[in-house]
Amino acid sequence: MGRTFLGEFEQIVMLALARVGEGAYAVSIHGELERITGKSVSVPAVYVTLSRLGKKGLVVSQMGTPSPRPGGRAKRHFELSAEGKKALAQSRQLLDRLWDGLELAQ
Amino acid sequence: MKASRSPRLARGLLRLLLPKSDREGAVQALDEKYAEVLEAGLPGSRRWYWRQVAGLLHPRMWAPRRGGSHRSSGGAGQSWMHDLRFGLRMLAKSPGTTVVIIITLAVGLGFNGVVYSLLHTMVLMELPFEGAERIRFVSALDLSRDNWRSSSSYPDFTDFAAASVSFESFALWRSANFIVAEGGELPERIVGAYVSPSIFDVLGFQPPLGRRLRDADGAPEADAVVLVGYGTWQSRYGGDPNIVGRSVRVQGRDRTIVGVLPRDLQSTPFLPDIWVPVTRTAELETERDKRYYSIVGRLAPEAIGAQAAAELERISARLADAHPDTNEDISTVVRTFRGRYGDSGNSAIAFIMMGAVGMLLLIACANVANLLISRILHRGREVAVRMALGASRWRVIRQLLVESMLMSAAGGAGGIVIAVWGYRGLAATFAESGAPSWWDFTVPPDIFALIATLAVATGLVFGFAPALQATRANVGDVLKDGARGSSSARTQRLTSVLVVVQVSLAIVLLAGAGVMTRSAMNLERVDWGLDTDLLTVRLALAQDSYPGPESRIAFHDQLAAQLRAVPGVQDVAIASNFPSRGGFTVAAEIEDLPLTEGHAPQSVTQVIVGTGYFDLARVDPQRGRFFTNSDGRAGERVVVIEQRFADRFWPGEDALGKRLRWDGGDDVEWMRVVGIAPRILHSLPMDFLPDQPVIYTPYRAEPLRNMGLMVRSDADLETLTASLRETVRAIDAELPLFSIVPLRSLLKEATFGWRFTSALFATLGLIALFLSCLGLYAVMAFAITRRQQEIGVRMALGARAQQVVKLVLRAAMLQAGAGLVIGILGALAATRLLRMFMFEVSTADPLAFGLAVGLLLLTALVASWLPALRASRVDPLEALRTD
Repeated sequence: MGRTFLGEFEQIVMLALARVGEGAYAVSIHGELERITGKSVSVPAVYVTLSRLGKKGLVVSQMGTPSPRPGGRAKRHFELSAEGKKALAQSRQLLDRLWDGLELAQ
Repeated sequence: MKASRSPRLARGLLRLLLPKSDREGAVQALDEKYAEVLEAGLPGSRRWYWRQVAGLLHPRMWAPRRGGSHRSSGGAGQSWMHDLRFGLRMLAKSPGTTVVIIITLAVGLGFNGVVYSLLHTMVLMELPFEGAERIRFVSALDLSRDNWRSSSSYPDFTDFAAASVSFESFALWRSANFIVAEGGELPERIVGAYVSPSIFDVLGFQPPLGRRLRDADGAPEADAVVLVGYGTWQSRYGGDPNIVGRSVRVQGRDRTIVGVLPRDLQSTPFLPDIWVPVTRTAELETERDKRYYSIVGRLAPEAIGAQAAAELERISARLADAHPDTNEDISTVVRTFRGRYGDSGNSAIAFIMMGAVGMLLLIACANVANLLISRILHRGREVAVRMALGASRWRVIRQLLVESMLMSAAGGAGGIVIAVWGYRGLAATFAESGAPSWWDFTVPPDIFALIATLAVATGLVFGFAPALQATRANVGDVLKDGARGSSSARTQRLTSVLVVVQVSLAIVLLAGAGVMTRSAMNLERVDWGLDTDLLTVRLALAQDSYPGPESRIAFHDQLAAQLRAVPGVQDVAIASNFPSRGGFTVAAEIEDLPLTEGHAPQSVTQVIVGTGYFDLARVDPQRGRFFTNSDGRAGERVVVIEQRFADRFWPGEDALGKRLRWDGGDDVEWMRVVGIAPRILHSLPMDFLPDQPVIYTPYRAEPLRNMGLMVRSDADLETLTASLRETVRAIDAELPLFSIVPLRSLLKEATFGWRFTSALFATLGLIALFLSCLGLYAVMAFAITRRQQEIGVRMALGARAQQVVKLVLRAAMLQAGAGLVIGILGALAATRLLRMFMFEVSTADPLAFGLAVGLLLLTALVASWLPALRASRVDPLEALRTD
């Protein structure tokens, strides 16, 4: 198929990344995730997921400038790639089609 | 900044869990977040950190495999992990049973490892050379003397090499004592070999230092050279790397060391402590009747072993035709290394031991199965509930199997420890008792695989049976019925059968142990036929210093005279072979049984003794006289024989004055019997050893260079040894004394094999007894638990404690009795296998069998007494209340 399946956690991380927008990095994406989901999420897990998405070509990253405070180190900034955006869109389309005309009792 | 430091352990764990590429980034991100958490000042920041690390393991965060299914990959593995954890918990819950099972398995497996190692050393040996499977050992086979196997002659060897196409090369070697001395040091005697230079081609190795022997080294006019073995190089020369080129005096001749032999060679029978090339003298190349040399050959690449053997037989037949005076009836036998050196009494005893430890393992297995069964049945409810709640039968069996595999893994580990340690101890015992010095006693690496395989197999087999039993029960019945369902009756039968098997195997081992121990004790008491309070020494005169008979006789006369003058020395004499150490096997022609009438020459054992030998031994002639100093040098040749000899060849006649001679034609001189000596044992009177009567001849008739000296003295060993050395040194400074041992130690050595085997059997028998005791106890205890209500009812109805005890004991004795009957039958068959190793004991020795049975019955009584007693003390009300 040549199509990449997105895991649930992967999708959530990508959406959080998109919401943070420019200059997003692990900690800010993690903050957004916890804020939206209201659940505790593991920072390393977020980082590892971002890194794996990078290997799949769904996100791109680059090293930023070191923060100006003492001992501050460079952060890795993440951004959705064109392919990542496409994958998210496809995933949404699929869900939309599945939800179309469906009404579930709560 | 101290406050912001993250928990070190958690951080280390995190680093360990992360792939390398993500390590720095992820840790950095978490640290940053951690700083925020600390800043917020909320409690439990450390716990937060740990949870963050743990969150990494949350299965949800792992992405689906690329193209794979969505099923959690952790599923199967996780449930196995769960089984494992649960198994460990269950084992820890009843530590007593667990430990007993593990020890039982470890002992059973460990003993198997030890005996397998022994088998490996004695029987499954291998040569450490490249292409060793193509190496063959060639011996002469005397068809006229009951296929007697012997060494070969040099001319036969050269003819084989010239005519054979199936062998690419042949080599020969012959053992020899070398007296090695250099620069006034104390002379040392080294057992080594004369070898043909071709031995390097046949065995196929290069010396680690120096060069191989070359064909030219064997020429009569060649420079005298020598190769030293690895052991000699280390012990005598301290591993000197510049040893090549040094000169050393060997047998009175200066030789140049041209190389060092590899260490591997020490585990071969080629006597590699020192190698001297055989000198191809004109004499050597014609002496076809002197069969002193062992031959080894390497098969040509395309040759097949059987064809090569047939080819050598054909060549031998041709040689027999061409040289009837020396080679008539001489054929050839070709054997592999194992065939030549592994095939003897050793292999029979090793396989019998293997059978014995195999039985021990079976007993151990039966025990473990029994313990597992009673343990699982205690958990009958648990199993039933789990199955009622929907666990599949396989799922429950798997859980139980995991538990038994865990125990067998632990048992296997223990077994390896026992095997390695046990074998080291055994090797040390062997080394002191005259085992061939080249036997390789290192623990063979395949015992690890062997024990691991056996452990897994026992874990599976003996975990499976109880697991099947336990899960066969109808769930409803078990829950309704407690432990009294029909299934438990079936289980009871299984455990009873296992006990019967155990008891019968234990009887076999115990009876075997008894018979072997009796045999060893009889050997311990054996009358060797002489006063054994003697010291023995060996000495070998150098050919160059003592070329002729006169010089050798003079030396021994002088030595004897001077030794008698040493304070404390009462008497001395020489003999070619000490008691228990055999003699020369020679073929004799009896005058009254002329060979012309179709009589074969008789094999007898010749022992050459000096004058005064029988006085030293403190025996008197039964008839006639012993040797004097005038016997042997001139006049008629004389011999002294044993009564056995007379009985065999001149039954009912007076043997004194009869004549015999060595086989070899009409030119050989007749020898007259002048005396009959009481029997001195030169070999143990065992069924499997050749029963050859002994004939004594005087030293003066055959003055050998290599003789044994026996000294009777009341001085202590150390003083005596010192004065012996001093006396010999005064006569010949280059002559070493070696093997200084009391005769009693030599005699003890002769019975080592029996003592060892009986000790091993006794150990196995006692362990078997102990294991059977455990098994019986477990089964009785279990049976009583099952019958607790019944016993309660009986006691409530007025049964007395004594009656209850009787009831229980009767059941136990019934099982033990059944095992006894089967065991005795098995033991009768087994001891028959041992017959060739038995000495003056019947295979059905009543004492051994009676002891075995008695011991086992006693053990069975003890093992069932305790549960019986407990049963009789049950409070009837209590018993009725339990379900």
